[in-house]
Amino acid sequence: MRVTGEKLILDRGPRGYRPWDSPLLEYARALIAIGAIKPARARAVIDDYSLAEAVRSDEGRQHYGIAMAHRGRSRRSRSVALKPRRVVPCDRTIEDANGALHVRHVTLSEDSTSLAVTWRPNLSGRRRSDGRGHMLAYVGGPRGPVQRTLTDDRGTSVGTGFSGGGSDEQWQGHLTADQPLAPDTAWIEIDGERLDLTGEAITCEVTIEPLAEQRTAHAYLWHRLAIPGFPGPPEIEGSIDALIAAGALEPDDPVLTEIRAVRDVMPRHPRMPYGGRGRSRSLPEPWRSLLRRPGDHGGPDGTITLSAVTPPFDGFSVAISSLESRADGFSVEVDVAPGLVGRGPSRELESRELAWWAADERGNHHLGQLGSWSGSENHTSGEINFWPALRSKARHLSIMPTGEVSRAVITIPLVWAAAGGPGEEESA
Amino acid sequence: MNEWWRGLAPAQASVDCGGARHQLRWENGALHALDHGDAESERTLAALGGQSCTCLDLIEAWERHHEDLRVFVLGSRGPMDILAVHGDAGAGLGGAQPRTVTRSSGWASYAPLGRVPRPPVRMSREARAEAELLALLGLGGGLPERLLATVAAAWRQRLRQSGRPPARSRAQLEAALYGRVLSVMRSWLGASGPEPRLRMIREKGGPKVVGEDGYVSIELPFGWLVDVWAQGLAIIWGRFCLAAHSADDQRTWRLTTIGPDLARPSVVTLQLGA
Repeated sequence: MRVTGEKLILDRGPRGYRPWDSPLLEYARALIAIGAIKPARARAVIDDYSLAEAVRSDEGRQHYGIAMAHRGRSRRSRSVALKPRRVVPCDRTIEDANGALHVRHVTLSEDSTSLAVTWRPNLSGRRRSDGRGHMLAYVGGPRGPVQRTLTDDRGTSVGTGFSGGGSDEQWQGHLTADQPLAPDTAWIEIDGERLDLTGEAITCEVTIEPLAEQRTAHAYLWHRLAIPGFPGPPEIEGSIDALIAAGALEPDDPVLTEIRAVRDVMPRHPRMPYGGRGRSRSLPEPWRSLLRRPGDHGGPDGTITLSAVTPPFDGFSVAISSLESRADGFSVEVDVAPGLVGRGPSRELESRELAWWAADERGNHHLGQLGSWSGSENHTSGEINFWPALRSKARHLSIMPTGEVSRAVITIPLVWAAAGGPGEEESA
Repeated sequence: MNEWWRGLAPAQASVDCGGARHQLRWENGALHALDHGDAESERTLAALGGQSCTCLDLIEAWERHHEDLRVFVLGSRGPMDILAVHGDAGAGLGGAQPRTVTRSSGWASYAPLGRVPRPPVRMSREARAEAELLALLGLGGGLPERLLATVAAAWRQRLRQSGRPPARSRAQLEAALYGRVLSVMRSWLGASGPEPRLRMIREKGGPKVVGEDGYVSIELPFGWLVDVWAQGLAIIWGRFCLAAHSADDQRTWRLTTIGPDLARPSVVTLQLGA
């Protein structure tokens, strides 16, 4: 690891000071995964070389202090099981002089109440467009949803905060109550406008499965490969170097050839053309079925509100509240505990990460990555975007958040397909 | 410890000490404050007066870090590896803003000073050590290179005594040697040249460089850093120096060198004039 650090120092020229994606992080995580080094020792080496990099440029010196200060505040995230929740589908638009608030669904649990909403401000005299921006974590403000007051059937009234993303024309996100309302309330009022909570979300089957046993080094690399980098496939050569140096892999291991073959054909972005059209046949599953449909744009349009909470697996608990399918892909709204914070020098080295796999009953696989999100080290609410698009003939979809030794399988009946066409939301 | 410093020229840097420019000079393996005749008395007076003395505190910092392996991680690997800490080391790093050296707190840094401010009251031991190191490595005038040589010599001595490096320090020693060998090899054979693969051998072992399939296999003792690298003899006449030995008078040096063709080593003799 220190030899890699030495190369890093001498090769730093065009790379600049970028400790958040230091090759040493990948190297260290691989060694920790196989038990070749303790996280504290790996962290000490990374800190040494991070400082060594920092003192070699003015930019680095400025950033180093910030990075270290942030790391000082970082604490190991706690693993907490998410509580059962009641998810109620809605399709209600409340209009006033400021704009239109469309409520997609309401989620109620013992410790939180939130409304999935789309907000279209009143832009009288201004031309609308369909374009969506990418601002995140917008809270209140002149063009976002104004603060709303929620009331339940017990007479409890609470304020809300908005988080989400959007543009001048449209915002999508969540109104979260300052205090939880009664989870079994028959209705809620939004600034006096009543929504009867009569709908029921689709209930999904949830199971936890151990992953097939394989060499720890292989399992680690396959898992890393399923967690996209920024942008594009993850850089795994550093991990491979580390595992070979530690004696956990042989340089001529045939599995390495498979792993590199998959890496080489993965798209830089889910919507970009694949590099491996026609080259996927020789790949192992699930990668073969994932990569054999380059840029598929035949997915159905539709939304399903569902309620699924997993028990803890691999240190995580996951809840899913909706599935939205589009022509070029699909996404699920999730809550995850502990939080899915980004990779970087401030992240605990031993932190586990989830790979987001999905598969239909026909054996077509999909891979997801975190889109817009908000939260903390202990909890993340966000969107997982999957590619390629759903097959229109699929009847069931299993969302499979996958850890290093086990995974949850959340099986969702795709009711729009049974209705003979996409675009209509149904309740089971 | 033997007189490992023989052959190394003196080095000198100026620092701002109590509003005046003072000189720090390294010679014969030790750092001296040229403007402080009675160091102990001045140290006591400064402590009693609650004031700092940059020169003396830098010397204390030098003594604290003379075996610190982090010097190799932070310090330069060679002429192409330049640190950006000259003149104001410590500023903006690790949240600490050290501006001077004080005996009372034991923390140090290098900066041009007009007067002596009080140090931060709370500073972790690690942050203090880091600030001291950066202060020393920011001194200039050849002193950082002499600090690297000092640490290398201290560890070479340990290795000579024990025969093998302590398990917890082995990786750091190997990395210290590797980084500097890699830097030299890139200067010598070019950045796109064959990759060096280094094996750190015992101090009494015979160094060698062998060309293999696509890389250069190098076997060197850690002491190469003291005898060759720190002396500025790593490349001479376009040849890589494997080892350097001086005769008793320390004016004649016999260098075992190898050419870029990695064929048989040849001896180069250097002689310093009277």
